[in-house]
Amino acid sequence: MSELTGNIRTDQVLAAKVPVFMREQIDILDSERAFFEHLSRQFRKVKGIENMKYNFLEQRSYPRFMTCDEITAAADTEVHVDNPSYAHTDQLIYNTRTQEHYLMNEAIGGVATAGTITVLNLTGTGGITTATAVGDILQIGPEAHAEGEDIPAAYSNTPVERFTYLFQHDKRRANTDIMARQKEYGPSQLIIDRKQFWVDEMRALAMLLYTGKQNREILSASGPRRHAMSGIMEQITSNVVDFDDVPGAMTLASVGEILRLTMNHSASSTTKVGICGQNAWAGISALPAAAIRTTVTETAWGKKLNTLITPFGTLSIAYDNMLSAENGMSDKFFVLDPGYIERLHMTGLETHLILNVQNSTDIHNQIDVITGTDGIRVGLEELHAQAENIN
Amino acid sequence: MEKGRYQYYAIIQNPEKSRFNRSFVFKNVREWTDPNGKYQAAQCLSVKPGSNGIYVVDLNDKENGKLKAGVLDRAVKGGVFPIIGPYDTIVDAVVAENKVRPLTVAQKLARGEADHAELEALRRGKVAPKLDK
Repeated sequence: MSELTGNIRTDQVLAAKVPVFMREQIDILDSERAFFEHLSRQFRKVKGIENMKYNFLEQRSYPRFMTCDEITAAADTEVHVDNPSYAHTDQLIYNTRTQEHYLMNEAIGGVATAGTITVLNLTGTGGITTATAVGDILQIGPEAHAEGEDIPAAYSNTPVERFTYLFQHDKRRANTDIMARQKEYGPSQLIIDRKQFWVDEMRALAMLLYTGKQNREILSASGPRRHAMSGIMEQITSNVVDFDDVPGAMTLASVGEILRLTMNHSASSTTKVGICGQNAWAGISALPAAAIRTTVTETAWGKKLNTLITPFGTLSIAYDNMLSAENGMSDKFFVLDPGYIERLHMTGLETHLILNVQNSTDIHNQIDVITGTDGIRVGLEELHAQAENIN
Repeated sequence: MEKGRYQYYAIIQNPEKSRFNRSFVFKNVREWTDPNGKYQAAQCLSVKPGSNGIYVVDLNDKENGKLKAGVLDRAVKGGVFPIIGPYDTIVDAVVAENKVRPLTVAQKLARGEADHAELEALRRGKVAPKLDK
């Protein structure tokens, strides 16, 4: 007991008598799973496979052009090109700059002289009429057949064998039995922790789907192995555009340039999906309003995507807030072909949360585990593109 | 060949990594109307490597030659990308790339086995060691 004189102020009321007045609801800063982890599962059904290594084959067409890598003077018959073996006997070779046709004059280019194709003037004698320049594109046309001549020798190309690894990832969360039963303000911290536990792992996985570099590490001579999965940045190699911090950021022309690279093949989907980092999105937002439309189709993937119509095709485009300066990813921009992005897991080892995995005699502790396998396949990587260093 | 017209930059391809095939944007401008009132379309231009892994810059190209060389010089100096150059001829570029290209596992093994065989021969006295004169 304490004695008081005068008016009693609030600070003089016995502290044990005053409850803490706490807001019932707790605000959670990052309560949603990550954008790309969700979106990448919507394009195609997630595929279960029965090996940590997923092999796949891709067939490409026979190359139809070569590039001049040195000047060839007028009247010469040895034209310098980067891949002479693409051309075969009697084929019509068209120089797109000089608009001149040459006639291939060796069975396979590069055999008579390394690094060159032996040609004749289209008249059948003499060398080329106009000198070539470095960078000239030479189209490889069909064979021009002489009357009664034998059919030309056969040639073809093989498919490409590719692979991607899955990886296994585990994470543990634990609490005591007393913590689980303690009275708290608002929803139980245990429930919040379990949800955040899952969300945090999905956000880490989402970033790995971009940045992953695949590896199969042998942990010991007896065989246990650790896998790391490959992300889309590693798998997209043909169409990588570096903006080198050139001012101007994303314009319709720059989006078109990136998109054009991915649309040149018959396997391409008519609509691509663009995922913007912070800087690219700032550029897109500055585009005239008429260039951006919203359609219903793209909302079918569970995320709102805007439609951008460029001279080279339609792009469903969205901003992933994980591609931010804070994450060191603000300069990125990806164009993906939804027909060839496939999320993978090992059959029976889908990523999932298991509650209460502790030993049955360990009654005072509660342990939850996230475990699973994940991977992503980027098929026909020419149909996808990535841009970096967008300022 | 016109001396000094072309500059070549080579990509050091690592056989154990995926192929490096990066295009560098050197001009990226929005559409605009010039002082004469003429509409100028937006442009996004990049320099790409050939299928032989060589970037070529034509310095006679007054509009873009220096811009292309500039962006590639920055890429070389940045030290992040496996690009070397510039070289005056494609032969110099290819030779320089061959000198620094990482070996494949098979090549490393072959070199290791050759070294081992040489040391083993020396140990057994079959080969006289080379002496510096």
